[in-house]
Amino acid sequence: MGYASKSPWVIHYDGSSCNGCDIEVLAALCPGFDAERFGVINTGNPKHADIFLVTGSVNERNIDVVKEIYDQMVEPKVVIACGICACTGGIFHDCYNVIGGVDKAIPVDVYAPGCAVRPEAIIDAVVQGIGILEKKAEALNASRKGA
Amino acid sequence: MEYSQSFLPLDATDILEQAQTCKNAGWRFVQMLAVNTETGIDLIYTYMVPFDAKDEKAELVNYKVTGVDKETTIPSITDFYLEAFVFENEIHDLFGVKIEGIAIDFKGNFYSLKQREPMTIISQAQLEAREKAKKIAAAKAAKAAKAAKEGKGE
Amino acid sequence: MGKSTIIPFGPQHPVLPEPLHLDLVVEDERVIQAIPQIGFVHRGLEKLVETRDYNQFVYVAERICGICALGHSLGYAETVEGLMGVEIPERAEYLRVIWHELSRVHSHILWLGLAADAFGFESLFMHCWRLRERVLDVFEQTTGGRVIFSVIKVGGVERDITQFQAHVILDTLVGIKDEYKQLCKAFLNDTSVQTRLVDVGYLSYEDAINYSVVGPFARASNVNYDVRMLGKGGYKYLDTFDPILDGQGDCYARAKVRALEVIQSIEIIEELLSKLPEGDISVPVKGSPADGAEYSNILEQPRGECYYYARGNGTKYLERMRMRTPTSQNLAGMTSALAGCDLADVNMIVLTIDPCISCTER
Repeated sequence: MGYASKSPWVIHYDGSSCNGCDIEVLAALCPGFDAERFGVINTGNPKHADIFLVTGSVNERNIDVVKEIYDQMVEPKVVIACGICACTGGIFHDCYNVIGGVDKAIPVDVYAPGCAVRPEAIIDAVVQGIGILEKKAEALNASRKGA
Repeated sequence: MEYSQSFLPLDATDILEQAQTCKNAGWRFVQMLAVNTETGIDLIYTYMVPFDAKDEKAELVNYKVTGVDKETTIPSITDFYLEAFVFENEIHDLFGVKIEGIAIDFKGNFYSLKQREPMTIISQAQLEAREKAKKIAAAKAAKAAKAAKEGKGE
Repeated sequence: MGKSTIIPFGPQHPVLPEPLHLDLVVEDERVIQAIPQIGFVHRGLEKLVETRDYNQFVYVAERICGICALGHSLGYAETVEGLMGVEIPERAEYLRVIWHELSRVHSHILWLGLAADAFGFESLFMHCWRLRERVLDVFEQTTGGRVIFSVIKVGGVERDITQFQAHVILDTLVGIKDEYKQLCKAFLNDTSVQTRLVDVGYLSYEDAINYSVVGPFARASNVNYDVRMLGKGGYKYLDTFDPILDGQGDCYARAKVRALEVIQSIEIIEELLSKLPEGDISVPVKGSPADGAEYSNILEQPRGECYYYARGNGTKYLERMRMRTPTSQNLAGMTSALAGCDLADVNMIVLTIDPCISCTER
């Protein structure tokens, strides 16, 4: 395990979701499933976070907010789309105000489907995200050394 | 306890007067909604008669205003019931009804929408279903008329 | 008099689980005015009645809000049943109320944890959510889901509970009740919690009536109104029901009303489980709503009174379905309670109305 993935800090944002996936994200950090024992902390500051957990099929007003949070995060960073609404738009894919999934606003690395997504699936997605984070950190280091 | 609901008609010019009467009588404002129909937009204002637990009776009164179109201006009831500003802004954004005098007016920016007045656009599937239902109802009526004629003929 | 600045609050904020934007007009740490701006969760799902028939729309109605999921599917099913004149069997009414009260227990414990986290009491947040996992285990055993259940349909309920599952529910509730009462004591009798909550965000009785606020927000200002008193649906089988009231009108009173409502809900479930009748759990529903038929319905959700309206047009698609949720009614009361508070108390006051922005905006 590289230094970047020892204990990743996550930031969570609700991008027009019904709150089902959001309370499951919080439940994954609480004593029932306890991701905090691995050092994962839910922070509110994008500049402190490594992993961005997004839920919800994004609506018109939220596209700018999601992009802003993504831009404020520091490299290397990983985006995880939690819940089927974040992956493809879910049951709301044909609503008039919904763009249909987070990957139409920002690039996504891991997709975790489910309605609502189970905490076990979120922890699995975070573990996969850690693997991707390590690869990105190595690539960043290599590009710096090369320069 | 007994619960009842009723639907009463209301004229667009009487909206403010009705709100004032309800406010003076201590009625509680429940909600306001709009329905898009082929003959214009219907507005429904709902009030609840205040009850005491000893009365054993609760009543929900829905006042229906029909045939509102793009030219009609509806007066706002936020002078009497401030909490209506949420519903009036929403109806203005989604249905295009002109409401004047809202206490906290977002001027069309309550929701930022991709399409303007989306609730007034009827989708293809709904139009087809309505056509089909009309045909079935017409066929049923023709059959009943024929049976009645044959019954009379005998 | 100081100079006023405008501080933006939200939409992304560590204490808010949902996006909400407030523009706080502040003068030297005092909030003079708070202007809310919502619209971050508007998906436009009331229009989906045009493409999903009245049986399929139950699944859309559930996903308006993940915390009050059962409440919305129950209200929708009751409204369509009233529109079409369908009578459901007694056992189905009992089961619906039992699941709805369990939903209220889980929602209030969730709120208690979030409120504690809002002013820094993180260990209480962890304890509450650990307790809540036990209620979610009951949901998973009886319905198959932790958050979205899909167990209510037009005409009754989809699943039944066996004798063994009823025992499991009772045992879990008895276990939760004792631990929960200790948590409540730790929360409500603690002096540092009281200094943060007492006399903060005061709403008087007259203002509560003027702004027509609903739910525990109103009952904490002594407004005697709870839809469960009207005895609709399965609530008519209860022996007595008295809403819990408190006259103080501040954040502490609202927390106390919600904390006591959990115990009341547990007692309601115990009473109904003891006299659960045998019988069918659903009736088949045929045909479509008549053209021009209308029906309105109210229901007491964990956050307050929720109003439903349905109109049919002769086809299997409804003409219009409208849900007016309690938080949209409480927004005016919230802006009034925010005026004149300290900047550090803003997130506490916003949380005490138990905002569910995805319900408000659908």
